[in-house]
Amino acid sequence: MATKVLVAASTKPIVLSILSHGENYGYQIIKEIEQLSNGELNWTDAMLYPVLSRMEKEGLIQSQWVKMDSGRKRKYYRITPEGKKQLEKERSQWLNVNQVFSHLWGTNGQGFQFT
Amino acid sequence: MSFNIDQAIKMWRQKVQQSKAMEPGFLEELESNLLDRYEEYLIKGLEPAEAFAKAEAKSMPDLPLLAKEYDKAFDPNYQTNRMRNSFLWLLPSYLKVALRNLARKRFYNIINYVCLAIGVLATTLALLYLNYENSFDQMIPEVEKKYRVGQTFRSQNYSLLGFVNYNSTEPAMQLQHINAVGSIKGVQEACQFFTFPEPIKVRAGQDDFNTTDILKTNTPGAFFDFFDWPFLEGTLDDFTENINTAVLTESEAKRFFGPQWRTQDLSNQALIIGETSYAITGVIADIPPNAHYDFSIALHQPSLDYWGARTYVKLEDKADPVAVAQQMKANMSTINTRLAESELFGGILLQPLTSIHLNSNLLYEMKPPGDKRYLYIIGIISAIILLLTISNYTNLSIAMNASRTREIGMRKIFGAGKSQVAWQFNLESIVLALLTLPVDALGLRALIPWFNQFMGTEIEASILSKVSFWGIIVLVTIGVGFLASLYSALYLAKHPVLKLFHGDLASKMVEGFSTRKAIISFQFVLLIGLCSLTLFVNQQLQFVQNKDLGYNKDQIIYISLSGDSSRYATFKNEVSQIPEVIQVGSGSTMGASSFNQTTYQLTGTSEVFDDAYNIDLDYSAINLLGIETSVEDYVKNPEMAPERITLINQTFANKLSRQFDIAPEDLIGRTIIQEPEYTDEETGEVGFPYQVAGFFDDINMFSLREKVGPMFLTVTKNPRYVYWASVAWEDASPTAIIEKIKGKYETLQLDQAFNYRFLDQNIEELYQNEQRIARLCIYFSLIAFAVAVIGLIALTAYLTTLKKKEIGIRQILGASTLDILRRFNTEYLILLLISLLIASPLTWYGVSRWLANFAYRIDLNIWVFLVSGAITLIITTVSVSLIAWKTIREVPINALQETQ
Repeated sequence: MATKVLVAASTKPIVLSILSHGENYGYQIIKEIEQLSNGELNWTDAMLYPVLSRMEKEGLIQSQWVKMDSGRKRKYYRITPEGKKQLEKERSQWLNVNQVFSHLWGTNGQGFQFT
Repeated sequence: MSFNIDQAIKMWRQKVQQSKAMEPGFLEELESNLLDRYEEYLIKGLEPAEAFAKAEAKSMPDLPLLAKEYDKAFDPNYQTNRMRNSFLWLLPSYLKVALRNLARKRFYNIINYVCLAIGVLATTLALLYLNYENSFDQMIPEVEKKYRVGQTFRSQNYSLLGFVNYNSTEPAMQLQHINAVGSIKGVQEACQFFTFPEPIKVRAGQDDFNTTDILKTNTPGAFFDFFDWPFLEGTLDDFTENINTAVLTESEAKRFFGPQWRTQDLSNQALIIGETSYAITGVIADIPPNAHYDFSIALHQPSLDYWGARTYVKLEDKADPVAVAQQMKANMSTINTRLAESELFGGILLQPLTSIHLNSNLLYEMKPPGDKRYLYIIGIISAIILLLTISNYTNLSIAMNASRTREIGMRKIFGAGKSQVAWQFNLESIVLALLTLPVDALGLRALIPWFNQFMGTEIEASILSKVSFWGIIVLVTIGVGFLASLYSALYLAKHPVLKLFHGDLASKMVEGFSTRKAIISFQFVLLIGLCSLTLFVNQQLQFVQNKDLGYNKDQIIYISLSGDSSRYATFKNEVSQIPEVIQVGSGSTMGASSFNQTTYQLTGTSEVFDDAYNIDLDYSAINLLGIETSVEDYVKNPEMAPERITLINQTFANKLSRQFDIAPEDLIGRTIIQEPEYTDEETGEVGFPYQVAGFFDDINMFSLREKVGPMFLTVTKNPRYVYWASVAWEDASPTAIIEKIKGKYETLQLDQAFNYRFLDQNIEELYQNEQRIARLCIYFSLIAFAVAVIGLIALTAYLTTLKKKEIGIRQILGASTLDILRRFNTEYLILLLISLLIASPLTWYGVSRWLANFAYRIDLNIWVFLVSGAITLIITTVSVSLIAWKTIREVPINALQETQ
């Protein structure tokens, strides 16, 4: 399990990244993250929805209620141009961090020995 | 029943909506999420009910957390809002409401105020006392490494260490003795001294002063190093360099040389005691009252004129006192060959200095030791008063605040949480409690001198100006205020909003078994307990004072003589001429602290015992004390009597008779050897033989805490040396007779202070602690009853205002005043009976543990509990009836017209 601090820091870029592949809704986002991280990042609903609201308030994403064939409504989220800019910033930061670790630990982290 | 998804969703919504900050938009999104999960579980093949349950569990883990997350994400002022809800932010508002409420119900709040003030005052006083008793010897530097050396001899423990040749030990030997103690492994430093409590005549300048508590030491440097009494004038070096030097305490310097003693050069002055002149080398601060010994003058002498010395050691870091004591015992031959060779020597005691006051019970203590049990008693009594105060407040505030339900309802509607409502009530009582502080400060200022005099303590009033002291008191006060309001705060805060507006809380408080009744029962238990405790303690004291001790204790006075037979003969001759004097005698003094016992062996038997006391009296003393003996003829006509005979007491005779199967009368003529372990090197005689000439009835020479043991009484016609003369008198006041005897005494031209003691006063002092506790019990019981009665009166007054209409209707329907009063009192009667059943066994247990200290004691009588119950009942009934009657007297129609 990832630490609380790491989860908090990575939530925003992960959500932006997922939405950069196309619009999506809350439950699907939770599921995708779970699959991509092999269950390591286990987000709760209590965490995601408030984050989505805040990001929408910050203008990074937009939401829209869509009525489905079953007659049920679902709220879909989409990334905004502002959000894409933010994602680009975040991406370069995370890559920098990633690069440091790659140098230190080897590309896949296998070559590193604790001495 | 089949699963209905719509119904399930509806219920889920209801649940979620209870959470605060749950806005409609969020709710719908969460619902959509829930359904997404639900559908997926359905696809996986789960039954609908199970699928919903699982989805609900997963999507809704923690409602408050969810609300908090939304709050955080949504509200830019999240941090500020949190602060605004905090206690400190709301404090001014709480305070405003608190003060308004205190002003509103003035009568009841004044009562609460008075009770709180009494409670805090009693607690503070108890804290001061406990603090004082625990502060003994703490002022001595590195006290944790310092110990007093005592010895075990026969079966008794002594608070001093004996010299090799008792009083005749040479100065060099005395020093060798202490040096040997100092060179024991683990001992860093050792000193010795002795204090003499009896008044001695000291000449300073042109005047004579009777001076008590003179300290003599032959290890002056080590003594001051050890105790570090601070010098105000002069130096330690001057005191140690020469012998026959003296150091005065400040108050003695004032007494001898006047308040301006600092302006005089005392180093030119000398003190003359007996034949010796002592150069004054310094003045030290007075010895603090909470040291385990006291002295007025310290004298540097080559030797101590006593059979042993107060011996103190400072141990090296990490030295083990038990090991050091064993070392001393093992190396006793280097310290004291007599003890090392004696079969009666049982070992060395090392007492930590700080434990002397409360934990020591050795022979010949310098100050009467404190008693832990009395610390507990005072602690318990003050706790009882405090509990009464707190329960009073709780009870009254439950009743009073029950009518504040609408206020609480409004607070809750405006968003106050449980803890915020509770804080309002807590704060009100804390404010009220804090308002008592000025009263407490004034009260303490007035009470401390009285308390000191009463309890024999010396708590300094200067403590009242210490910040740390008030810090503690403020904390205690806040604690009392908080506890007092805790119950009503929690009780009122827990009610849901709607119920608060029904307004039936106040009248509901009146009916049924409530916390109020539980608290009143609790108060009754405390009152009955305290009352019976007081009665028992005073009964025992009465018993002690009235018990036949085996001798007359009234109108007998002891005069210190310290002289040989001729001096005594002159004194007796002179004093006998005083018309009011009946008889003059001499010998051991009654009403004494216990002293050393002696070993003995009945000739013809092999067993040696070590539990007998040796006392001596002349024939006149036996007569004037009225001690019953089997040799009455001799006592009445001493001229006919032998010069010297030995009597044994009844207990002794019975013991020997049982032990060796001899009829008591056959003991007459038998010889008992004292100290059979001693053999005279010249004559080869073993011990000291005493031939039993008769018996005397048991006398309680010591306190009644101790059982009468075997006693030898040596009766003489003309004693060789007389320490104390006893004088029996009649038809004169104590002061008058003292004056007359003093006049005769002065004609003897003795070079010593006139020192006297009344026998009944001696005996009374044996029970000083008990007397103090007994009186304190009475005072505290009165306070406790007062607090409880005030509380009960206030509560009844309040409840009768609620029941006004009921009383009015009952009166219209024909109920008499008596009927109504009976209704009011019956409920208390039942509570009182329950309380009696709870309080009696508890008190029984406590009192019997206390009584176990007395060898002679009262039987616990069940009537005392019933009397205590009756006293409580009468006080309760009278106060309740008086208050209720006030309401009943009003014309019923007025009560019924009132809109409530």
